[in-house]
Amino acid sequence: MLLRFVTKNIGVAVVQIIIVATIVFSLLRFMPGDPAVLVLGTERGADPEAVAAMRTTLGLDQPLLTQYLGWMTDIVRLDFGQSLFNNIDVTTYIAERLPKTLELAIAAIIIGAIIGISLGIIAAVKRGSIVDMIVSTIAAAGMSFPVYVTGTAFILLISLQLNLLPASGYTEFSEDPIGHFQRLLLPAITIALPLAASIARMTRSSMLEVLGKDFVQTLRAKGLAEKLVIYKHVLRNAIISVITVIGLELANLIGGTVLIEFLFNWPGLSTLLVEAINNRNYPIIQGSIIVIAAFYILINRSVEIIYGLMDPRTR
Amino acid sequence: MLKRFFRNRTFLVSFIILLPVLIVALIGPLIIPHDPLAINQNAVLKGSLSGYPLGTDEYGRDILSRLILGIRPTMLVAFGATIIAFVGGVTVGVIAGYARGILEKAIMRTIDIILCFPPILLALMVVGFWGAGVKNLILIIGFLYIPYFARITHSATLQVKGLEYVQSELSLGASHFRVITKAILPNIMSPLIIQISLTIAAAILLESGLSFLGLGVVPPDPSWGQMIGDARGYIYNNPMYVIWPSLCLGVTMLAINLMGDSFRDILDPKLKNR
Repeated sequence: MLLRFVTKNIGVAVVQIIIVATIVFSLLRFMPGDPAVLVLGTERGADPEAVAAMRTTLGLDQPLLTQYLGWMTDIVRLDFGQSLFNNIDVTTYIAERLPKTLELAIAAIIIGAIIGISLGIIAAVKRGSIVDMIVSTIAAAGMSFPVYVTGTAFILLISLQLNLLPASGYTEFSEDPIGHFQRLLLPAITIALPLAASIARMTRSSMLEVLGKDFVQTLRAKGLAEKLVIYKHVLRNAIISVITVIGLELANLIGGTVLIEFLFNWPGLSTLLVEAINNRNYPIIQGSIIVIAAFYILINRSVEIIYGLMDPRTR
Repeated sequence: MLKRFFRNRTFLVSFIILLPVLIVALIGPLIIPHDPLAINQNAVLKGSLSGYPLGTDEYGRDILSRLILGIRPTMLVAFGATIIAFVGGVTVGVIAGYARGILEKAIMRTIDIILCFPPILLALMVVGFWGAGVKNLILIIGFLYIPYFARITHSATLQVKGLEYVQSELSLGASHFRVITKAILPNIMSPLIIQISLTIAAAILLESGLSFLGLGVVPPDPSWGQMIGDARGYIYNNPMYVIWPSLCLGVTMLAINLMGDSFRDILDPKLKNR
């Protein structure tokens, strides 16, 4: 039963990745205008030989079916071709950028979970108090502002006015460990805020739900300390909702990372994608979109599996 | 009905913020003090000075004029995309609900697939290959939000179709078009209106996000997101340059979300006490 549930989720992930790969494949093939001419620009695009050579580089000179099968086998082998401008493998680019994006995303999830869970607990325990109202209002506002507006506000306030943290950029951990984390902190917090807002809301409402249950009354009646009731029994029941939120917020998290990497000049996968789109470097666009989508799909499925393990009713 | 809206305080606040924004979007070209594309090399990245109340950008263009005209592409994309999503989604949903069988399965599966990807990733995908610009943005964002309307309409169609009065109307010879407009649509007006407000907010967010990345509205035409993206590099020289568009976008987004909340409160009383 469990095995079937896990294999089913893996199957869904594989189908989804095939669909993304197919969409990316067809977008380049059925775009308005000749991609080879667009890459070369108006001047060199007028030269038929250069266009023919570029079509070969992009793999557009073969029959469509051969192209498609070749594209799919290349993806399985993680071969996305070479950058159009310097013959470096796209995989090399992605391998260099991907860890930085993952670091940013993981830092954001950790910060978001810590802030969100603690605010949610406070708001639930002190329900109806001033603290509760402040948390709810900030949570609502935190979800409306675009991430790059909050990010800009942070740069203006924390970097420019107070001079506490560097405004943007990236330093290798091996070169300057402290500088590395200083530069990670602002973008990570910016991405974390909307996440923290939803986690706080969800923690609050699910804790209130559990607090109203009979077993909590029993625990209190038998004289268990209030702290133990909350941390040992209520919070454990509420924690599953946090995993749900992370699953639900994943799309926003990816969107946030794309925008925030650009705002803070963080050299991750999304900045690579945006640069490539501006230069019409199609192999890099294809490669990075597939990798980002694949990660999204895999995390989504993992959340589904974890959820199923923790709550067998949802399988 | 209208009274219920204006008695709601959240709605009133958001209405007071959004009405001027819409008016400025409509009459923008009549009230701008400068040509938003006019370059002035003598006044680059200045704070507020005579003739330029909010200062100038990196080309010496008037920030106020650019802010005023920058609402237009955003609103155009928001309303255009929402109309496409609404019309497309309701049509697809009704077809799926009526057709049943393989066609219904095919439509609903496709919708599931679209829904399982982050919209910004799909938008970047299309913009990356097919190019940016207001027209493409309207089409892409409109297409991306068809599934939400389709789902609402689909389930409502299934529910309403089975009701006795609809069955009897059909057996009396009413056309399907009549059933759709008289029985199905009025029944789902509330969720559809709520979805419209959510879609407008999402479309603004996506448009300004893409423009912020330099992949949305094509320069030199301004848009708020794009201004923030451009001003990012001049944050030390003229911090007000980035503050104005951020403030406009932030307040507008907040007001639109508030309006969405108030719609939910007014139209969906079941949710009120949550």
